[in-house]
Amino acid sequence: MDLDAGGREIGSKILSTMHGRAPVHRIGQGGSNSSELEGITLDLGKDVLHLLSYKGEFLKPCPGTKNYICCGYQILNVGTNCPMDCSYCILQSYFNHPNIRVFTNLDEKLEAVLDEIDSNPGRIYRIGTGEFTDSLALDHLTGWAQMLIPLFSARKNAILELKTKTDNIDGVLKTSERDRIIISWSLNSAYISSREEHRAPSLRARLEAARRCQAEGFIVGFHFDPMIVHPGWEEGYARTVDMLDSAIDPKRVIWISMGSMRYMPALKSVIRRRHPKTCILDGEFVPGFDGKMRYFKPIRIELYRALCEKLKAWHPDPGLYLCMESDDIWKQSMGWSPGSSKGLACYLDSRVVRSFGWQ
Amino acid sequence: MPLQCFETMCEPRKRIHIQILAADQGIFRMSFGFDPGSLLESIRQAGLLNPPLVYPGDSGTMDIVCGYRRVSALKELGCTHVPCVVLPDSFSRERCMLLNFYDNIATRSLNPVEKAMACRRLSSLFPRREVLSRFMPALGLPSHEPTLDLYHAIDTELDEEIKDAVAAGRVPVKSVEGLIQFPNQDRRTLCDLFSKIRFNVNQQLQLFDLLSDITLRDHKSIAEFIAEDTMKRILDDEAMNTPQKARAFLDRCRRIRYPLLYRAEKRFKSDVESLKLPREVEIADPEYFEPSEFKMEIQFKDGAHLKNVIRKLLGLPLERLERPSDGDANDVI
Repeated sequence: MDLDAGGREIGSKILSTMHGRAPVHRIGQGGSNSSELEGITLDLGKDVLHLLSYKGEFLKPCPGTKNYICCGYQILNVGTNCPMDCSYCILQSYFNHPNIRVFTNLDEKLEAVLDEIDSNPGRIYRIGTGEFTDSLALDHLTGWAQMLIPLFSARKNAILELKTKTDNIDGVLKTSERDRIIISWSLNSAYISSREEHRAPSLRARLEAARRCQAEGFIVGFHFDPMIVHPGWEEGYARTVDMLDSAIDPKRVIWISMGSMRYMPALKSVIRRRHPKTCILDGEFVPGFDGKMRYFKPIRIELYRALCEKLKAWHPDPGLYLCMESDDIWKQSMGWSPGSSKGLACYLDSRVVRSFGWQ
Repeated sequence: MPLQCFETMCEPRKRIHIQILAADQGIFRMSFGFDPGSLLESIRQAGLLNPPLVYPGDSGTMDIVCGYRRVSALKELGCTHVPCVVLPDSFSRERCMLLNFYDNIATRSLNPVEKAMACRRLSSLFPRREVLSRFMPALGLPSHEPTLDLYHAIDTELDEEIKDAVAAGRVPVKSVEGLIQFPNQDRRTLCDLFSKIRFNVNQQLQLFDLLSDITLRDHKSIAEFIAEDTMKRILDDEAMNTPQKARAFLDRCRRIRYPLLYRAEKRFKSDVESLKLPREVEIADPEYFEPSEFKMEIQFKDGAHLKNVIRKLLGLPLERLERPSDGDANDVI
């Protein structure tokens, strides 16, 4: 814990919840780059929670990727890294910031974030906290859901998406607000989930959590990302859609995204070293326009087309979209394309309006 | 340290029995893979001109600080005693190491394995930042953390057979990083392969990547893979020279690793060739078919020339050029 982090609300809450359950090291002036962190970081530091003040911007556009169609998401930067250990996770290559980091000065910076939203009433802000961390994995410690949901629910030109791979929804269910809040889950085939999503709850557990959230009035979303070619992949993803069908009312799903396995080249050796038995690198990967390795195009088209077909059989309009894909892939796999990132942003904004209205 | 001071600090030369000179894995040793021939001849003809420097070790032995090769040569010549300069007890290990280090770099070039030995031994006695900033430049190496780690790995992780290959240049240092990722048995198989087919560095690096992916995906060792008929046929093909074998071997690996992409690229190449394009026209490499469009380049002198080229193009069955479809993926995924 950085010296100035414990006195803040989030920091105090975490320390009080964890009292006696884990040793606390207080770090001096050097902060997160201090050499004091060396020696208490093991591998990626998944067993170390670092409480600190974040000096950067709390609300920023998702970095997205060059030359592909992106959705214009905004990231609320609440922390980085997560306690799960998915073999495909891009955060594995961010070694300059090991440990699970929670920014304890979030509450102080929220006013500026909300001011920006309120100053642009003509614009829809699609905001999420699940890009650099899992939105709910640590919610029992951080209380992010109970802090953020009331604030964002009151904004008529914003939605807050809490994206998770867990079933840690107690904090969410304690809130009373439902408007403009989306709880979403990352999904995969059972084969990939069981072999590659280490420490994550099962698909069944996640979908049960989703069902409960829906039953409590929340709008939900799902993200099939990354889709990975593996033996029996088509059947595997079809089975997940069947599970979705059993648990979820499709009319109250705002969107479902699809993205295939992609990674920066530098991540490959990290994955090989940390997950030697993984199958996620077995496919035919080629360099994309943004330098990321992606499946050879016909493979991506086949993946998306198969899942799209299954999802559309479940519901004719589940709000399907592709993450970081090219115009021709959209057309060949989805039968249409938003044409550009602006087009995709408009489409997703329309889903927001459809689900929550617009004032 | 001035020469006079050095001489006055040491005892006069002593004849030391060769058996108590601790040789092989001495902590100061920086010699590997040398050919003793010329040194043997020199000693035979001119005698031992420079005595080894030794330092009292544990249990009555003498550690060789400088002169490992000379002692080895004398052993081979059947000498029983070696005149040595015994360094005083007051000399620290660090000082002894520096003596040997500067003696070596002043008189000869170290091969990569010897540089690795030097880096490791210096690292055991000096702070890492000093090894990086002071000793690595003296060895002709960049002051670069990953380079230091690589050289440590050369000393600690490679077995003798592979070190021989590295010292002799059959496996370039640049390739070692790729080689180290493989288990020992696979490394030996690869070194054996490199002794049969001379791949250049880039080809070696490509090969490591391909073989690593194939063997992990297909759950087999490199030895098993190379023993397969399709690979053996290339190795045994007497009609191909070494560079041709290297290209054929790599090509086959690529085909096995990327069957769908390989097929698409071959078909595209064949379709382009069958068009018999005018010499002024070139269709660019499809860049893995990731772009949604192909690119064509036309070279022309003037408008009339361009018109002529376009007229020829219009007469060709250009519709043959197709993009790989997702239907192709069905066979593979």
